[in-house]
Amino acid sequence: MDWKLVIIHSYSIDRINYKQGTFMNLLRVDSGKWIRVISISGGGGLDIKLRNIGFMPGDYARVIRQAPFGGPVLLEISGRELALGQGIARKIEVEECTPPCDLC
Amino acid sequence: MRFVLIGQPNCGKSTLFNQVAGYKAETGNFAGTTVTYTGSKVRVLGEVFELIDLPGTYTLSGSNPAERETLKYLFSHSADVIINVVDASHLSQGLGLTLELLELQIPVVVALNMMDEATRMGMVIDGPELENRLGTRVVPLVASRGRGVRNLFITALELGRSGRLPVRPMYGKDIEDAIQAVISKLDGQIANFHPEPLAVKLLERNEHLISLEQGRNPEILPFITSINKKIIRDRGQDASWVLSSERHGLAANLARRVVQQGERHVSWRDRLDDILLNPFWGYVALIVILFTFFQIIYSLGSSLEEPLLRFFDLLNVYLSRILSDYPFLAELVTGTLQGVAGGVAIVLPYLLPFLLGLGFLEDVGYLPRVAFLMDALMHRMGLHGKAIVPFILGYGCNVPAVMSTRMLEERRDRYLASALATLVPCAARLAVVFGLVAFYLGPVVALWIYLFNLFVIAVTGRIISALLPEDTPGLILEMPVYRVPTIKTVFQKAWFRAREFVVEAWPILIIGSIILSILNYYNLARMINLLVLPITWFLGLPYEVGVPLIFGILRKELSLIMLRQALNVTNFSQGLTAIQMITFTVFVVFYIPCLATLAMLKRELGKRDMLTIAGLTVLIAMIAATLARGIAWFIY
Repeated sequence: MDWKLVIIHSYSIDRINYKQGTFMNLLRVDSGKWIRVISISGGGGLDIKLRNIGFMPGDYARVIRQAPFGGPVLLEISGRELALGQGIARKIEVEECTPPCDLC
Repeated sequence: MRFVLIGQPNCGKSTLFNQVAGYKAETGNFAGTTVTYTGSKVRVLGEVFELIDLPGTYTLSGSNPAERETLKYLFSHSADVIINVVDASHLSQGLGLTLELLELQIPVVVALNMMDEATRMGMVIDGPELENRLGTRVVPLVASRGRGVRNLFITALELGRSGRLPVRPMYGKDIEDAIQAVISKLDGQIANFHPEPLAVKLLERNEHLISLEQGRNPEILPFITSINKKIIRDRGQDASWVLSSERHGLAANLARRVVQQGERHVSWRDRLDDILLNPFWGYVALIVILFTFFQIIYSLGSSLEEPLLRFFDLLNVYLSRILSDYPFLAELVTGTLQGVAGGVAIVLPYLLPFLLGLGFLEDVGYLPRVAFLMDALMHRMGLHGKAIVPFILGYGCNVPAVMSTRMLEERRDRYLASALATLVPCAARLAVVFGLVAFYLGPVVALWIYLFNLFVIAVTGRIISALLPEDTPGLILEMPVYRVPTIKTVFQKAWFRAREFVVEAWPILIIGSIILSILNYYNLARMINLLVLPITWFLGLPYEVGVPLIFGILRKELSLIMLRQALNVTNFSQGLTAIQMITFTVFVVFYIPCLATLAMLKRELGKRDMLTIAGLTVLIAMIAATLARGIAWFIY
């Protein structure tokens, strides 16, 4: 078995082909929309924390619902549901996209 | 032979452990219920081996207590086989950790748990293909039903005997070169660590290992920093980022190749969140569920409490009569009996149904939903959604409330949540509010005291969180799927938690009770009253209230029971004015939590924080009671 065959490229921001001006933070995405994560800003090791639970730039996700009164955002990402508080969602830059074909 | 269980939070690892070891670990449909590791001796095929349950961890990077614990364990104890439990329904996420484990040069068996869940979600997993690609053994498992457990341990035993090492995944060439470079620097330095995994973790700048290595090899840190600089220049990110994103991509790719996504069966479980997380109906459901929850606990608890208390009273009267010639001994017996009764008749009747109900809500998966709904509100108090759980628990008993702060990741959050949860009026304080205020002044006043309590907690939360240096990091919470809990685990878990009260807090309750009875014997009531005089005088309460207040620290409802004795009246309206009743009740609601809670605070946060919280509650009680006195003065 050759490991190199199954390695796909590492996801990082510079490899994502994007058009300027289509980014927004996660809070501004409507429920039901598919998104692709562009970047995670902010200190305190937030990017590491999210990366450790398997949430990284390049990932696709669907916004299931935005909670009322400034509550958290509920995401579906690779088959599981993840709630992110407002303060965290604000630091996540995303772009809307069409559902990726292997997930739709 | 030693087997080590490793898996991500909520993968069913502790469930597996409890299946084979009897109930020894906390499980819950909530991330991060295990923080330390538990070990047990297990017998398989006539052979006894050691099984270690490590805390759930997403990676081995060591950025939170559970991860640090896991990594430390792996690098300091010898494990013969790693049993990697993976949630089959979230394969791509779980394989990230698996790939990291394959690097450790320890035999790994992958247990694909929750296969029933995966099937329900319409997934078909090609086990042999995954086995082939990972180069190590993969076995299916449904830990909650005990299916596949035997096969898993047989496989683990085989692997342990043969000592077959897995093949680790290869990274990009620059990273591989960097790993080799670090290995060459390590050469001959460390005996019990395998150089390759050590090199990878050092490259990821794992603090624990770097500080260990730094001791014997001071050049290692500058060397790693220089390698990292090069990687940052070439890749735009540091080595730990590159490594984890390559693993992440690899895991996603692997999952895509071995999982066939079929038709997903939409069931009631998928529809449930449309109601339970709905912006309107979600909150209605929350109120209904919590109300029912408390109603059940309250009716169960009170129906047990009364006969039990009556029994202890009779026993006390009987024993006092026998011992009437030995007054000191009689006083001691009464004190001991009161401590025992406090546990048996007052705490356990509420605590047990409470823990059962909580375990049920937890295993169903409702608690994370509550956290989701309450996140926005909790932020106003400087906490996030998960901290709602201690508050809910606090209304039953502060002891499990403080216990439950363990689920919060940050120490700051645990401290704040514990401090605020002790201000929540528990069932015992409910007795005071109802027995005094509701009975003499009407239920509406009692309701106002509850609302006033919420207001004070919110203000306190704002003030403390403004004083604490860091901000709450915010909510990151996995929503587990709803599960039907098994009765066995719910009962076992309740017992496991109740045991903590019995072992930790109850003895202190009994000892405190005995000490107070000795004080009582030497007729030190006057001295106690004098000691508490600054408080009673300041609040405009009768001088005699001092003793009931001190005894209230033992058990909150004692402050009401003893008030009758202290004031020497049968009808409180003869001894206290309406204003005094309100002031007294508000003070009792807020001041020092009971001894059992203090013991739990000490266990969770340490002595210093326990003392600061106790001091803080007295301060808050003084301010709140003064405020209430002012308001009451206006009304009456």
